Order: sequence, then C-alpha cells, then structure tokens
Amino acid sequence: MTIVFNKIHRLKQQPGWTWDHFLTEMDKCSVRGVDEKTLYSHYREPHKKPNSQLETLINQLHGDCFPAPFPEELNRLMRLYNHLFNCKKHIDKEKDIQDLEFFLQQQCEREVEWLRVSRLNWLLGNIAFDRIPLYRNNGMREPLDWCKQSAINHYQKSVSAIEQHNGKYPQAMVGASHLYKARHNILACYLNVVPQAKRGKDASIIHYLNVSNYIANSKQALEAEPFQWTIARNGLRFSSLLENDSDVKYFISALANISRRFLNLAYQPLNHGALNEGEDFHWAIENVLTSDYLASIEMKMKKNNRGKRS
Amino acid sequence: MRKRRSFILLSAIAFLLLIAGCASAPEGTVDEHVPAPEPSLQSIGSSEPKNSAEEESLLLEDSATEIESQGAVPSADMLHKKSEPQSDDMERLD
Repeated sequence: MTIVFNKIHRLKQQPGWTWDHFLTEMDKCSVRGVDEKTLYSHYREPHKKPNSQLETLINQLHGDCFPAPFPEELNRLMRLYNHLFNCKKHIDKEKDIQDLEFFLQQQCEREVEWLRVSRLNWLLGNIAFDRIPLYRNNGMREPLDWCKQSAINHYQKSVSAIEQHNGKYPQAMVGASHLYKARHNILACYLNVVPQAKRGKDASIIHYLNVSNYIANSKQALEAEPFQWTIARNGLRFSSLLENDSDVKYFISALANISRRFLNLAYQPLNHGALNEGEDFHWAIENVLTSDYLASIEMKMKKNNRGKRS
Repeated sequence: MRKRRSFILLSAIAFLLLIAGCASAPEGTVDEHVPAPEPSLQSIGSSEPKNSAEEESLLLEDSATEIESQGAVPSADMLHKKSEPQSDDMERLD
C-alpha cells in the first residue's frame, strides 16, 4: 500500500510541478478540488490521514502520471482480495479466499506473459503472507512454516518474472521500486513469523538480511526517493536488530530529513506505532538514539536551515 | 357525534395500552407465543434437509472456544479473531 504522503511527494518531484501546477492538475480531475493548505500539510506531515476525496484525487493523479506496469485487471483483483481480507463482517471469508487461491493457482500454471505471472504470484504471496499472524498468534508451527515458505516462493517467482520481463523488453522495464517492494515482502515474511521479543536473536532473519543486502538496497531506494519514510523506518528497524550503530544513525537522519517529528521517539506516523513502542527498535534506542544524540541532530538541522536562509 | 368521538378516543387509548404492554413484557412471555418446534420431528430423526448455511455459521460462532479448550486444531475461520498482526509487524507492499 503506497501511502498518500509518498504519492504527493512523487508527483511533486516531477519537473515543472510547482504547487500551482499541482493544484491545476488536481482541479482538472475534480470540480471540488483541494485547497493549497490541505495539500501542503499532507506533503509535510507523515501522520496526516487523508479524507476520501483527497485520497481518490491523489490516487487518480498518481495513476495517470505513474501508470502501474502490471495488467489493470490483476491490480483490481488484488484490490478485491484486499477488501475481502479486511472485511470484518464476512465470517467465513477463509473459504472464499481458498476458492480465489485455487483459481489463481490454475491461472498461474497456464500463464505465459511474464508480467501476468509476476502479479498472479504476488497475489498468491499476499494470501499466504496474510495467514502468518493467524498461525503465529496461535502457536501453530507447521502451518506457519508452510505459509512462510509459500509466501516467499511466490514473491521470489514474482521477482524472477519481472527480471525475465526486463531482460526481454528493455524498452518497457518495470521500475526498481517494484522489485524493491517484492523483496521487502520476502523480508517481511522472515520477520513476521517470529514473535517480537525473539526477532533480534533469530538466525534466519539475520541470515536473510545479510544475504539479501537489504540495508544497502534500502539506502539506494532512499537516494532515489528520500521521502519514503517507511523504507527509512524499516532500515532503522533492521539496523537495530543487527546492532549496527552507523546504520542506525544513517536511517534516523533520513527520517529526520523527512520530518523533524521523527526525532520525537513517541511520534506515530500514519498507520504505524511509535519507535519507542516497538521491540525491534529497542537496541537502537538504548545504545544510539539517546536524547542528547537526537538533540544534536536537531541542532545540526536548525543550523543548516539558518545557513540556507542566509 | 360525541359518541363517535369518545369511541375513537377509547380505541386509540386501548391501542396505545396494547403497544405499551407488548413493549414492557419480559422476554420470556413474548417467546411463549412462538410455537416450539415439534419434538417428534427431531426424535424420529427426520430426513428433512437442514439449512446447512445457517447451521454452519452458528457453529463457527459458538464452537470456537469449546474446540480450543479441547486442544483440537481450530480452523482458520474460527481463529480470525486472533489473526490481528502485532503492533510492529512489517506491512506487505502491493
């Protein structure tokens, strides 16, 4: 789920997209439009929850400027599954999910187009991924391992299919951000199967972090899109689990550059908990992110801002 | 004319009293008006097909705690209440 904050930044980053241009583009999409103050506050504040009008407008504009590389019908199928999974009133939805899963498996076997293969596997990966908390919270080791492995296999097939497509159609390559997302999901499988208290010592997480080059890839992704606070936050999480102080410093600076509010460890960005509430950040907070260190970053940022103004 | 008015007034009062009586009646008394299922149908073991969808959904609601306490492996549906992610699980990206 790409959040509205990121989409606004991605749109704004395009050449020629001043605030005036941005607002004009939004006016073209809707009669009601959005006022400048609202748009700007959503650009600045990672915790702001957009109303449905703004969300729809930004999604539409983002879709026009950055069309998804995958077939639209499969993106819509994914949305449909997300709605089904999140529906709390549907008491026997697991049966419907199993039916959908069976259909997807059949489609996957027949499919020959790489992007379709990739998206079908991505959705199958999501279905397995979403079962992980269920089995973990109920201590059901065998189905938990099976779900984890199934999700990882599907995400890996999805990555391979994108790579095949990029090799075959260099003029219509799928962007690096999609590959990053699929690899992020693989890492999320490794992390989410382990209860929070045991994550720092889990050998499979540490091993995958090292072999996947996740930290380096996150830094690379942040260089391309420095506004992606979820990438910086996850970078900080894994640097903390790996007990790497220089990486912790790198990612907290990246977060502070996105919003100074992140220097307050109790700050809660949209749909995420505060850093000081997460077990995964415990080492970083204890050993690096002391109040003195956070204050020094803030001082440095203020000095830099004054320097820029004068 | 007067007789007609007082008749209408009395009917209205009687109707209101009837409604008020029903609303304040204890649950048991209302249920008593509902005819109980014929015991003979169940005891004989009728081959009448049951409403399976309705029965299944009732089972899902009622038996979750019972099955857990017996140590049996619960189905995914029964466990949906426990499937909430932890506060700091990693979100999947689409």
